[in-house]
Amino acid sequence: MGAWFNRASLAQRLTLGALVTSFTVLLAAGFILAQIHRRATERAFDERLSVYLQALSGSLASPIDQDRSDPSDLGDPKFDLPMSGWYWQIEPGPANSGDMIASPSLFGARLARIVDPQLKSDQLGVVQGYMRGPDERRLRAIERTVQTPDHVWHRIRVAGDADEIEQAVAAFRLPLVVTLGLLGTLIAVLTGVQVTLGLKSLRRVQTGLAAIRTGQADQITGSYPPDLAPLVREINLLLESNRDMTERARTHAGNLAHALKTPLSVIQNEVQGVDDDQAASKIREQIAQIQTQLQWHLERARQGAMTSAIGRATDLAQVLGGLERMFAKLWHARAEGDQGLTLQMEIEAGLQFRGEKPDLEDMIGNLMDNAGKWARQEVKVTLRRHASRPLFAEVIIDDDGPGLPEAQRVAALKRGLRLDETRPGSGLGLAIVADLAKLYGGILVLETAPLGGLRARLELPIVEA
Amino acid sequence: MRLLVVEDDKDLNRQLCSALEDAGYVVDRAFDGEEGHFLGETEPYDAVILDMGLPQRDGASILNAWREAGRSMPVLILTARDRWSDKVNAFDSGADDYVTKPFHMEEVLARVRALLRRATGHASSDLVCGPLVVDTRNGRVTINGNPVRLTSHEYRLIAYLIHHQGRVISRSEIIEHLYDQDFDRDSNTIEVFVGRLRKKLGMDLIETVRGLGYRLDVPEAS
Repeated sequence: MGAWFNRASLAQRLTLGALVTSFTVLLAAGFILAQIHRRATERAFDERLSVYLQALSGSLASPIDQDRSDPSDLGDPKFDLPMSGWYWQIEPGPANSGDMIASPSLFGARLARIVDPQLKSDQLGVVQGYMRGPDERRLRAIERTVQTPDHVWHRIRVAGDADEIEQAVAAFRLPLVVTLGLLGTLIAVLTGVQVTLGLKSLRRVQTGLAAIRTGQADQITGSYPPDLAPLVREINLLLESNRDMTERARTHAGNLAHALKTPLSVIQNEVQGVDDDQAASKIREQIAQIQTQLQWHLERARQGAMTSAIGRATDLAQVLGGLERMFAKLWHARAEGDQGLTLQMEIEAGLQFRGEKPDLEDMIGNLMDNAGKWARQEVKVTLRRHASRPLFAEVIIDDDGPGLPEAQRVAALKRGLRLDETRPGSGLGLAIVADLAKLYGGILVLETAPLGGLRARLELPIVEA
Repeated sequence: MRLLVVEDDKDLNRQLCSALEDAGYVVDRAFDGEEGHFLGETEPYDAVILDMGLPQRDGASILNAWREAGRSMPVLILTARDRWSDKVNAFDSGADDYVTKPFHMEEVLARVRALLRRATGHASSDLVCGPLVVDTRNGRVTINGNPVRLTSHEYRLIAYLIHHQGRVISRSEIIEHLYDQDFDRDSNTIEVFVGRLRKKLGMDLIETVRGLGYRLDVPEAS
């Protein structure tokens, strides 16, 4: 039971608790009601018996010499039928002599004593209780001792068939059980409704959390009942501190990189001029390794931070605008010829990427950088809503360079699992983009551009505006 | 060509400066943000190499301040941060190019060369003025295809003149761009170098504009 209770849901626990309580109460109520009814029935029965008792004692009360009314004439044929279950009997007290008179129904038998006599409270000297009749039938009886005017004590006993009481009790029991059963069912249904309604707010919290996890929201919003509001507030604060921690982790990672990369530059430049030195070439090799390690771990930290950072939306057009300004300037500055590269942008406004801005900038930045490395004259960037995939946007980066043969495209997107295979350079850039896109539930596809070179098509999830 | 290097790491600063000086540039150096900002705002540099993470004042804010003050010299950013967001921010602050640490010195030299070339409106790294060709990649100077041997000071002078060919350049401008801050501005050195250049180049490429300065131009056929 204990183990089950620990496993049971909140709804199950609440329902079980309510049901156990209400059924206990209903059972007790049923029992008490049945008892009260039995008492009332017994009392009504006793009233009838006492009417007969009074009639019998009345008949004894008349003086002896006068014409005594016949006690046997109670006006009820039940007392005349043999073994009808209804009897009376007048017996003289122990100190007195005299004949015993009894109802014809007794048929010569005698009534036994009351088994468990109780004093009837409202009538003085009257005793009531159950007894066994001459035919072993259960009887309800009352008795009383009276003194006739000639100072003779008589004990009058009247008994009736207890079956009548049992029948009345049984007749009451059925409607009682049905009524209480209906009441119990009603309570069970109401409990179910109440639990469902009561837990609805909890379910709303759950829906809110799911929305955060899938990036549609960054907080649980809406008003909640006072007992849930603190929980919601705490969750929101937790999310906020989680974001702060993510931010701090990134800052630390960035600082670490900066701190290590400057001395690395110094070492690298220091051994640059030395060509034939074995130590110098060893150092160069080690620097390359350190650099690869740095990049690898920085990126790991970044991706770890990304999966824990939730609920961000980034304006795609804005990010592309920033990258456009930068690459236009960069390609102009680096161009060896007169023209440099022309950058064409075709941007659909209002699309919100479901994720972090720096990650989006890294993805598109790497792709544009790569395109710029290979392009002869032109790079074209297109942003639009995905034609067939709802809640996805497409960023297409075309160049007019040599392109990539189909066989090499898969390899370009695959990152070597061994550290020493992941050299910084053109290959790693595309792999990083593919990994990032995958983490966000998107995809990077390499195709042939209409301009003749490589087309990188990035499908990214967006937030519904 | 006079450059400013703002880098807080002493070793890296030294390496950058000596490599740039070896390539024929005049180099001033600054080791923190405040000093770098001040020099860049007051001295006429042809290009600046600016580290992003600096003590006292970071690179982006210095760059912003220069651009707001109307300083338009090309700026090459050195950054350890390889995220594009950092680069986009730097470019929005007014950077012209970037190099990510750790870098190869040749890369910095190539970028500086390209920036200087672009800033003076030249598309190719071969600067041509009539029979005179100055290859800024390797510092080779030829007249009609024949190499001319120049000292580093002579090279600096002819490189500056050919970058700004056709324009009259005053003596003080030459001093500002060819010498660092500590140069004695009253000396006759410029006249001496112009004289030597005229002798080595053997032609009347460098014209003296009386009272104004010098001009490098294709001699008119007479």
